[in-house]
Amino acid sequence: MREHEAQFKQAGANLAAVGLGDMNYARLFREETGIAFPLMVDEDRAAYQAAELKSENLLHLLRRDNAAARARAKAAGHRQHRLGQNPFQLGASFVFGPGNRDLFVHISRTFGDNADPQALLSVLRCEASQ
Amino acid sequence: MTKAGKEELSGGQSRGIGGPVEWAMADTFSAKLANIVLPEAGGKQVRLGSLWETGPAALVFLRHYG
Repeated sequence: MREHEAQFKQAGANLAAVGLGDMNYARLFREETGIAFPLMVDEDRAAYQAAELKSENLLHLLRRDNAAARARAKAAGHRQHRLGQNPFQLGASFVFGPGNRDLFVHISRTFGDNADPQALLSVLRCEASQ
Repeated sequence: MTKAGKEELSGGQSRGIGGPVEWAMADTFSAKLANIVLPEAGGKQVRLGSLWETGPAALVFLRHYG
């Protein structure tokens, strides 16, 4: 997502991330990755639970789609940083609008199942044009 | 959100498949998350709803930091 930060700004949207772990972990991650957007710490999983995000298990690592996702990430130059508080926690991507409108929702089913940033940007551009 | 809308949101495009949706009711994800306050890595407390109060926001939940 960090590669697309400027595009999100151009689309007139705030971009923010939520992660597990503690403040030191988050600061370190921020320094390592160079992200400029807000990175929030959800040590108690309050936001993850509110968003109904699940955790998976070790067997998911063996899934064929995960192997493909790892290969894609490696080919794109991404690297694995330190594992967080719960390496089995699944993520999600949302676009929300004023008035608590859900404009885009992607909840990961397995580890490599991430939303395409272009899909989020497309929704934001559509929202901006209205 | 209509009952049908909720069912679609729960079992349809939003679960793992992802895609554009538009709901504006009390049980949207944005409504559930809006009042949660989390510390930002810089130390500032952020109420999540403030991110999309006046304009759209993309909010990404990381699988882990990495």
